[in-house]
Amino acid sequence: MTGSEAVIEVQNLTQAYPLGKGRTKTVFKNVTLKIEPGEFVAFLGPSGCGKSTMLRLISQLELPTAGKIHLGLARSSIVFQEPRLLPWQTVKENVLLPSQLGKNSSSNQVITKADQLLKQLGLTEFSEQFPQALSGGMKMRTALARALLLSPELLLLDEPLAALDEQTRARLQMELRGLYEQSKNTTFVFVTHSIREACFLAQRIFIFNPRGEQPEVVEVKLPKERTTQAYDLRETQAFFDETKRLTALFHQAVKE
Amino acid sequence: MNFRFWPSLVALIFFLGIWQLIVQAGIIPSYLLPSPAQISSTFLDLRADFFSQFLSTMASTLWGLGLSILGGLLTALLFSSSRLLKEALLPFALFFQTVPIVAIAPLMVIWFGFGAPTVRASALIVSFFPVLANALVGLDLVDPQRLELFRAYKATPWQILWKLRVPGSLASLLPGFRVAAGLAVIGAIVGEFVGGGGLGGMIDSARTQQRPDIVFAAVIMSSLLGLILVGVIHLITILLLRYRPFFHLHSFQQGSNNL
Repeated sequence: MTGSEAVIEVQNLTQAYPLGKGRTKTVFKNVTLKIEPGEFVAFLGPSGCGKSTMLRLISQLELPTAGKIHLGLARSSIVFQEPRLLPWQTVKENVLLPSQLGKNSSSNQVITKADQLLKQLGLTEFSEQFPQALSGGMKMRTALARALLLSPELLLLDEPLAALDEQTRARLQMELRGLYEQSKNTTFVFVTHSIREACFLAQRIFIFNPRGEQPEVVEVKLPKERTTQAYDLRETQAFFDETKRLTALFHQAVKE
Repeated sequence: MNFRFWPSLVALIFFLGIWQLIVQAGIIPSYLLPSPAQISSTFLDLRADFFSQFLSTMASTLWGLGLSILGGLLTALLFSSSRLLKEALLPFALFFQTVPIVAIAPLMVIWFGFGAPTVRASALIVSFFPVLANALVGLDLVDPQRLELFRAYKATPWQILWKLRVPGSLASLLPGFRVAAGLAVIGAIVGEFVGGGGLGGMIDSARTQQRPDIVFAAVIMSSLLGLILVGVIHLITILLLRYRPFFHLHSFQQGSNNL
């Protein structure tokens, strides 16, 4: 690993929830991980093994039971599995929401940025519409634009594509990876239980296991440029071989 | 007129016809139950009176309703900003709601004297609680997922209130206004029984003159007043939702069973 300062440093992290009667459910114990600036990292694993919990801890929506999380940056934002749009605000107003919260303020610069994101995500013609008129994919695009509004240095994504139909999901994977490749030094952390999705999107994959032990780290051996080719990388033999290799590693890691 | 109203219109005409026949045949004497024709002719004879008293009751109802909406909203905002205040005072508000308006209306006369202030106070008291209760429910209705989103963006409590809780509360608030409008009419009529004036005053003096025809006409007028107010609130709701979809109208129409 390079010597540059990590964006996220998680040290000996333990997360446990009380179940009542003095018993606790330990999600994971003593987990240490490090994420470098500008990486696209995936947290992969079956349901209930703490990958979403890890994301929520990093985003400070939850506090850890034990251990430390060091964030080496100022601006982060998060996208959830549900778009969580405000039904009474238009698409554009929803995208502008982060600029009206906290200590931020809506400047002309932010509005220009919103217009640019709407265009980039194919939402311009819907910008004055309310979310109820949008498809699931369009709603998620709106949520993505909202998360990118304040140019975050760290973008946390908690299974954002899991609720979408397969075609929309494949398209949005491509767009998301495109956003990453165009971004300057934004770190992406993406939670998923799909091996193919993790393989296509991420550079490195942390495979979480149901035992709550230290996740396995795997490098994805695919080129950094994955969306600029005329063909779809996901249809190539190289991609097929890589997912096959990752699947084997995945099953080894999550074995009870 | 919309086609779906035809069955009830036919039923109404049928019902009025039976009523008219029963009274004309002398089965029920007309000094107990005046016939529809009698009621209509009394109404036409006294229409100037009925209209001015109708407007008087409407004015008092709107005063009471307006004040209770204002006061209910402010109280709800106050309660939602301070948990301690809410826990200290909400039980009294609940208790206050159970006091029958008929029982405390005489007290209003002692405090405010005869006339409009008593009537307004009476309309205010009965319509205040539905506004407060529905506003409190609405402010607490906030979707936990959206609340989490706001927290993730470091929203201040003030921003959470105005950008999330208040717009989200309209789904509960507007049906509350509608219930309050219906109750404010009742409050005003009861206030007029003791304080005088308006349709309630007309009913009360018709009672002493043994004039059930005037009572019937005044009762119909006061129902009409309630219908108009509820209709106006419904119209405002539809226009508001056309402007911004705060909630589905469907859920609003289902809530009409409360009234």
